[in-house]
Amino acid sequence: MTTKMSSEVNKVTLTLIHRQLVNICDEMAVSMMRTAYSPIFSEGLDFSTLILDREGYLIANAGLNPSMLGASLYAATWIVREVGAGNFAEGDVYVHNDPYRGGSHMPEHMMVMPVFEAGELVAFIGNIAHMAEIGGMAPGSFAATATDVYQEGLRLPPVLLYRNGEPVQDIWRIILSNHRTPKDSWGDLHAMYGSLKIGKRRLLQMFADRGLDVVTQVFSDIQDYTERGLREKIRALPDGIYHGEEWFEDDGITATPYGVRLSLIVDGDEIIFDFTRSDPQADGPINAPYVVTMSASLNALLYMIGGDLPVNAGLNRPVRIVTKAGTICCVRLPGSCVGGQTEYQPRIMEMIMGKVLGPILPEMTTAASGNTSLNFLFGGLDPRTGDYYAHYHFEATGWGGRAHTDGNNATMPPHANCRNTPVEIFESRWPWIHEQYTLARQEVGHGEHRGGAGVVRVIEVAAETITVSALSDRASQAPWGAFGGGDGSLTRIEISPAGRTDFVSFQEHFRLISPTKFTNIRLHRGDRVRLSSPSGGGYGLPEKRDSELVAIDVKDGYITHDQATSIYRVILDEKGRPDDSLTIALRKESGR
Amino acid sequence: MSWQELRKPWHDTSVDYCDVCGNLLIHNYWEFDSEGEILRACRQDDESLWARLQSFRETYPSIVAKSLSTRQSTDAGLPAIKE
Repeated sequence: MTTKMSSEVNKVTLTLIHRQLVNICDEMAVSMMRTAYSPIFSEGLDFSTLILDREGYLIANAGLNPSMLGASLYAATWIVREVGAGNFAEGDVYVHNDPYRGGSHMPEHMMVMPVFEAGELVAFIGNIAHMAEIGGMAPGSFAATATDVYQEGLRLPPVLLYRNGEPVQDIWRIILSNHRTPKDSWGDLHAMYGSLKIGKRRLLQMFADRGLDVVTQVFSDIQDYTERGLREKIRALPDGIYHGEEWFEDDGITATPYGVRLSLIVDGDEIIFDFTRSDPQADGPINAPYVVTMSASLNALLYMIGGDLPVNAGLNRPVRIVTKAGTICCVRLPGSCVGGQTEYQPRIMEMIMGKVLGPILPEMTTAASGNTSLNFLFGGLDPRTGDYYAHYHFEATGWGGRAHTDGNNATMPPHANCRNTPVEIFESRWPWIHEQYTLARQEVGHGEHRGGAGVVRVIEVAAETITVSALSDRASQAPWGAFGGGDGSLTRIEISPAGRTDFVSFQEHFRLISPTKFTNIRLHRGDRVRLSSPSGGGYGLPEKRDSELVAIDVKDGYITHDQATSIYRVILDEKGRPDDSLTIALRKESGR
Repeated sequence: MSWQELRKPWHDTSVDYCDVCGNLLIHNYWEFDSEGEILRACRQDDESLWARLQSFRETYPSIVAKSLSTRQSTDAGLPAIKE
C-alpha cells in the first residue's frame, strides 16, 4: 500500500515503534499467562492486553482474543469519559466489567492504568480478561437461564481497584465476597495488575528511548494509517447493499428462535452494518451488547479484507455499526447477555463472512464452522480439598472448509482464538475423570475442501455431586456447507446416569426447554457427560476433491470406503489407493 | 441540532442509548430533529447518517418468517449441493 504520512514520523519509524508497542502487549500477555491462577487465563488465554492513548482509544494490542475487539476499542473511552481525564492519578487502576458501559459480558473484566510523563497524562495501559467465576446464579457465572443481568454475577462500573499503587480494600472485599472462588479471583486480578505494571514500565522506557513526542505522534499516525488502509480496501468492494440473516434456536427460556438481520451497505470507502431489523431482545442471555455486535462486524471485515492492517481505533472511522436498542443486537438494561459474546458473536461473524460477503468474495469466505463455544460450567466442593471450585469450560469445534484448504480440526471459534484445557490440567484441578476425548472425524461436512472435525469428550463425575450448566446452540441447525459442500454436524450434550451404559440428551433426561441451554443441574458420582461439538461444513462439490486426499480420508477415518465412492465418486483399489481411470469414468458419468 | 449535556446524579445507574446506532450515550449527546421527532445521537455526524439510512432502507427486501431447517446449505445464500 502506498502511504503518505501526515506527520513528521516516517514510515520506518512508524513501523518500528508500532511493532514495539505490540511487543509490549505480547510481554504483558506472557506475564498474565504465567502468573494467573485459573486455567482460563494460563491455558485458555482468554484475555487481551492493550495500549491506549490518553483518551482511551486503542493503539496496539496483543491480538490474542479478537472477540474482545469491540470492548478494546470502546470500553476504555467510556472509563476515561466517565471518570474524567483530569481525575486520574499516578498509581490508579480502574476495574470494570459492565456490559452496559462498553463491556462485552460480565465475566470479562477490564483494568486500565494511566501513564504519566512529566506529570501529564499521556496514555493508558489496559487489559481485558475472562474471570472464571464472578458469582451470580450459576457456578462459572454463565447462567443460560438468566433473565436479567443481575443474575449473571457481580456488575462493576468503573471503580478504583488501586489508588496511588495501594489496593482499595473495600472494593477488593466486595469483589472477593461475591465470587465463589475468591482465591482464584485474587490471583487472576493480581496477574492482570502485574501485566499492567510491566506494560507501564516498558512504555515509559520507550518514551525515554524514543522521545515522548515521537511515540505519541505514532499513536495518532498509526490510527490514520489503519483508517486509510481500510478505506482503500473497502473502496475495492463493489458498492451495493448485501443482506443476511442468522437464527438462534432458542434463548434457554422459551423454545422460540431469534433472528438477526443484517443489511450491509458498501458506499464508496465506507461500510455501514445495519442490524436494526433484528428481533427484539430475548428473555434469555443470548443477547449482545452493542460492542459485541461491533466486534462481530469488525472481525468479519478484518478476516475478509483486513490483510495485515494494524488493529487500532482507526478501524472505527470508515465503518459504522447501526443497531437498535432493545433488539438481540443491542440489549437494553436489564437484559441478560452473557452468551452474546460466545454464541452470538461467532455466528454473526459467520453470517457476514459467508452469507453476506461470501458471494462477492468467494475466495475469502469459508463454509460454516462449529461456531459455538459449547460453554460447559461446573462447580461444587472438591472432595480432595474441601474447597469450592468452579470452572468455565469451552469446547473446540471443527471449522468450515475454505477455498484452498480443509477446515481446522478441534479449534476454538475464529472469534475467540483460545486454547483448550489439557486433560491433565482438567483432572488435576477438578473432580472429573476423562473416558474419551477424540475427534469426531465421521461428522465433517463433505466437500472439495471438507470441514474440520469437532470433538467428543466423555467425562465422569468423581465427587458426590457437581453442579453443571451449559450455554450453546446448533442442536438443530448444522454448520452449512458452501458452494456445493455438505453441512457439518450438530451440538449434543448428553448424560449417562451412573450404572447405565447408554447416553441420552440432557434435554430428554431432565425435561429441559432447551437442548443446549440449562442451569444448575446436579450430577452425582459415576454420572457421565458426553459433549459433542459441531464439525464444520464443506466447501465446494465433494466430487471435485483430490482423489489422493479422499484415499487419505478413508485411512484416517473421516469417511468409509463406500462413502469414497458414493459421495466423492472415487474408486479405491484393494490397497486403498485411488484408481484414476475408474474414478475419472465415474465422475464423468456423474456429469461433473 | 446541538450538543446537549446528559445530566444525571451520581447514584443514577440508568443507561441511555443513541437513537441512530444504539451505542451508549456518555455525558452528552447530539440532538436533532427528524420530521418532527427529536432524536439523540452519540455523534454529530449521526444526523447525516440517519438521512442516508432512510434512503437505503427503502430498498431493503421484506422480512420473511422463518421456520428452522435442519438442512442449512440451502439457507446459506450460497449455492447448495445439487441433489
